[in-house]
Amino acid sequence: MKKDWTKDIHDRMGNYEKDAPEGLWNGICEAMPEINDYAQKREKQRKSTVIALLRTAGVAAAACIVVALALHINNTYDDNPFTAKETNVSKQGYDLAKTRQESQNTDNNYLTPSTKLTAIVSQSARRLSPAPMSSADNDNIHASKNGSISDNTVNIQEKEQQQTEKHTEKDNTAKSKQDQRNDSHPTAKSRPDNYPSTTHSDGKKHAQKASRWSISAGMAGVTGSASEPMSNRTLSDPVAGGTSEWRDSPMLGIAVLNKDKATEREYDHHLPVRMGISLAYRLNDRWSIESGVTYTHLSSETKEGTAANHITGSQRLNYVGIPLNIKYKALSHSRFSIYASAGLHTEKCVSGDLSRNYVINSDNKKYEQLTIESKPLQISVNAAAGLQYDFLHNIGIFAEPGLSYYFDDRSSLSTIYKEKPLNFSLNLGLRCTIGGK
Amino acid sequence: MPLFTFVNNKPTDEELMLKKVRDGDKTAMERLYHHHVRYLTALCSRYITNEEDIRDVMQDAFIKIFKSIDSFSFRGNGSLKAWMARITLNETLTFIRKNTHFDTVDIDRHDIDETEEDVETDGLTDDIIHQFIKELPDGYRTVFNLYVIEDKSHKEIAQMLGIKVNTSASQLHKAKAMLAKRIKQYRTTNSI
Repeated sequence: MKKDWTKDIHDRMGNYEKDAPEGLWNGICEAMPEINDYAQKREKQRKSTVIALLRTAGVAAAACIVVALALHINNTYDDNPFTAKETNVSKQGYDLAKTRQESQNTDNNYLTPSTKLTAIVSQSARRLSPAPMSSADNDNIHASKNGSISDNTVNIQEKEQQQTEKHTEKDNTAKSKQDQRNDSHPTAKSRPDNYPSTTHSDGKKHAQKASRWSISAGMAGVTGSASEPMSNRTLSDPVAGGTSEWRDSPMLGIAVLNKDKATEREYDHHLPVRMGISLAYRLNDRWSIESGVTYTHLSSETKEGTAANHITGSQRLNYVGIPLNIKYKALSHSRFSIYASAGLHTEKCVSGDLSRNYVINSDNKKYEQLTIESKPLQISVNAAAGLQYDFLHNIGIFAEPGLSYYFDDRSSLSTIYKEKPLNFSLNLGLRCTIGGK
Repeated sequence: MPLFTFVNNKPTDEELMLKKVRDGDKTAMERLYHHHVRYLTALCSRYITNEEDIRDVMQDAFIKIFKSIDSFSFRGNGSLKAWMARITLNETLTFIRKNTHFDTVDIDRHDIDETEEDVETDGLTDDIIHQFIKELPDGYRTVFNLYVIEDKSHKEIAQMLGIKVNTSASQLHKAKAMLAKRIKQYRTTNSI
């Protein structure tokens, strides 16, 4: 039939391919200098990003060390007002006024350690890598100036974009060699190595690998509400008649001496400090799930009794936890995105100790240090909304106000979570995505 | 905030590449170029015979593609290729309109056998067919390509080239006759 041959031509020519004219791509690049400019800019950005990231990673490591040291120093400093050394029991009497003043001083000091730590972090961070950390810095300084409740989270993520790129290149070369089409000039010109294959599988692999995972290493002060500081309580006058004979059983002595007064144990809980690493997997355009590992340090001061006869102690608890969050990206427009996150955080107390000081008649009678046996599991749920601004293609700063509720861990331990189970928190930090979006 | 509205739109690889191109990623642009350039070159070279002209037209086509990529809306697999082909064809025809006269084609009437005959295309390679099409005179070739390969109607062709519908029909007729003759000749001399 007449039509057959033209139909045949239609089918064959419809899929026909021919080698590109020589120098075509170069011509296009020359005619579109904006491609080159942009490409160069991005190359520079990428390089500077890598350098900046390495710097921030180094800073984070340094900051972690600083924080750890500061915490350590802070804890040893805490003990000082009450004992000279762990084993020495001082017989020097305490002046009431002096005690009060010192306890006030130490209160102030207690309120600042978290903020002090973050100030240290921000100082060192600022020195080494100005650009990405600046917003976090300002918030840090702001917080410590106001003595406000909010604290800061710094999340730092590492990226492997170049590695992913190389991987893609390799995939493409392998695939294109496999998928040579029916070319009637197979020997005429060899295909350049970075021709993509005609199948989709390696491309898909690249897309999945590049954009779905992101990792973060964080160091933070989780916000919570501070409980009432010790200085609120008015201390009653000492009762005359105390003796120094209660050394062997100071507890009993204190109880006896305080028999007529109402005393109760007060806790002064410090803001928890949390460090963590987390990994997020992007399920699709809007949803992603995130998990990781966190370490939280809780410390509190206790006081029980009257001014002259009391037991003071400091409690330190270490928790290791696993968070599990789902994130939903609600809106995104140019460089901004708004998201919501909800999740569960399960923590286990891995170690804790309590150091106590017994004071009778303003005399330091006994000092002891105990390990806390109770190792409870602390579960909390949280929900937050976040706003993220990506100042670079794959790095952004975010602010995440949220609420967390800490369930009763049914233990005899007294923590900040028992006093205030519902916490408002504000996380501020840096988020990076591996391989770009 | 609709916290639990489930949105499930997994992007395809083409869409991902498209997004990168829109962001100005040069590597993605080059990849897009390489992915489609051979098909588009074949398309262009059906219409234009001079190599330099082909390169110029292809360059203009790609520049236009990259500059207007933002206005393209993805509609499933193959939609990007079709859109790029359309742009390339437009550039090609723009060039042709400037350089080809359709009404005056000097062909010695005696050479053309007006009656269309059946002709066998089996045994002929794609390259040979492509070559024969290129051998057609400009006007015949353009109309033949648009009608037979691009599936345009005479009305559409007339509009695209700024000619009369009748002209388009007669040009096609002559093109087919000439092509058939050429194929027959080839088969005879090569004993296919």
